[in-house]
Amino acid sequence: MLKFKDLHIGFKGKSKQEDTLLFKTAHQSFEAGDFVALIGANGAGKTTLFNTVLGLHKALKGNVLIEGQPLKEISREEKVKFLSYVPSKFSGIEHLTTYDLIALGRSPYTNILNRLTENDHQRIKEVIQQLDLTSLKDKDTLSLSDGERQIAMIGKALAQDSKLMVLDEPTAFLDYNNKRKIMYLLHDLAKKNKQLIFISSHDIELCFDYCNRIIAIDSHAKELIHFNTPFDKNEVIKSVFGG
Amino acid sequence: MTSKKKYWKQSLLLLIALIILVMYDLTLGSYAVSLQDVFNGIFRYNETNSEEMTVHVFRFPRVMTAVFAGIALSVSGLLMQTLFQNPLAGPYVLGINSGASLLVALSTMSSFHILGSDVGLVFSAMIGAFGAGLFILISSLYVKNKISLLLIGIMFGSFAGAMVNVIQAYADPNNLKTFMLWSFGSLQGIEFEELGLVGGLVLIGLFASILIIKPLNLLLLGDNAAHLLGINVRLIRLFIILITALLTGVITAYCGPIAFVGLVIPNFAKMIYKTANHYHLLFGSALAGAILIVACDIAMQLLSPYLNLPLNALTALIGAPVVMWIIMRKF
Repeated sequence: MLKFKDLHIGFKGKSKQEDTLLFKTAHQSFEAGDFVALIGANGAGKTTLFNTVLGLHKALKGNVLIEGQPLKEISREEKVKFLSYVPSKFSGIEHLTTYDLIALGRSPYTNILNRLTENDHQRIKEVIQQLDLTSLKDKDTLSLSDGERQIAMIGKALAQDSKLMVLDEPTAFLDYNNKRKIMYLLHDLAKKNKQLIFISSHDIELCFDYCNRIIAIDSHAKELIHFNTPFDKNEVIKSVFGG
Repeated sequence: MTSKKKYWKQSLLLLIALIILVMYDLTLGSYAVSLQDVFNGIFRYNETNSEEMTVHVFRFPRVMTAVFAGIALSVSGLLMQTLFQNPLAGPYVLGINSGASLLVALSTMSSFHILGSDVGLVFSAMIGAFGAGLFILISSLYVKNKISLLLIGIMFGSFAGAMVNVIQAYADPNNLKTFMLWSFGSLQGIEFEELGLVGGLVLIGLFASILIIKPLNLLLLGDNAAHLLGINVRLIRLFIILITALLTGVITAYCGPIAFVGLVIPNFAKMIYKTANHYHLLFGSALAGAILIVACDIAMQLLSPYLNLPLNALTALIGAPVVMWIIMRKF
């Protein structure tokens, strides 16, 4: 479903010689139902890879393919059906309830006045049920706890009905209990909804427990290395953080 | 479902309040006029009846101007607050009014008379407002901090103010007087025949804002999230600045730089509607804004035998404490 084709991730300089290459990826592909974690040291380029996948950053070379289509050829309106995104921190918006937040995920399907149809309300209710948010649906997003807010944002992404969900460090600002809860939830969603879920994380131990695939940025070799379950923890850690 | 009805009910209440205040305001002035004469003055105008003439020539334009100014400034304020994700944003604070003032000063007081006519005045105010809006928009790409952006707006406002001072220093005394009176803010600047033009432009701005309700709602999530939900963020930003320039420009040209309404009213609307949906916030802000300026006009009319209060002084007297309150609560 998602393919990296000879992708070079980095920043463009003034000329080709001045380009900063962070890492290369060989051909890699990810399928629906995969729960993939991207790990790497700080500054290795996790966010840059994510931004490239989201189409917010241009790759130095190569292509990101979604269902065979190069990402750059997909229009903004169409991209909505392929990609949804959850930032690592959402601080809440005054007077925006959990229900309204999840409803914003339906907005690509609504008319110009953002009016929700019966169908949209149905989908929002399903999402609320699946994420067990019923008791929080009328609560102001500003008054939710960090963990609840993260789940509500996942709900917004779910309501978007995209094939691929990208989450930037979804566990970064949470306590241990909530970290596990979110990881379990994502693991479950990937399986049940047949979505491809793509996260970046520093919580490597949790990724070992819940993800079925890990890709790691090796900053020395400037390459993206791929691991499948069962993971050899030492090998993964060695490849990212060295000896 | 029920909550939607609640919003409409609130809007209906505001509308009724507005209509009552407008009717009351129409009877006020240097002498009281009956509602019957008000009706005749608007719909069955007869020049020989002095009461009807007063209503037709002075009061109806004055009250309608108050309504249009309230709608225009509040809607601009709401758009600015969403665009910059900042509850303290507004056309006055961000220097949009000052941009308009600068160009109005240039066209009324300098020898630069290309834009001398009335239409020219409106047009130059819009250009000034658009220029200031664009300046703030570009600054916002570099300055991420909300308070810093406000400071840039305030600095831009002082800079434009200083330029106006320089122009004033060289101005002809008659032109200077015209400009000073304009800068106090007044609702008397629009004649009956011009109401159609001003009202039309304000309605165009309001209608254009309704068309971007969805992007406005999504902008609350931040630029990246809005982009990934299918919004062309750059285009929408420019569109917001254009609408604000149109609304603020036309009102500033005719009524002078009216302070604080655009900042206070959207916050008030958010407080009573308790929603983040711009569909309701737009109507709420427009209605509440109209109510505030009509109420200010009523206050000015009632106080006029004892005290001549310029509009701008009155809105600042109300607005400044509200702004302090918002700062204490939110920052």
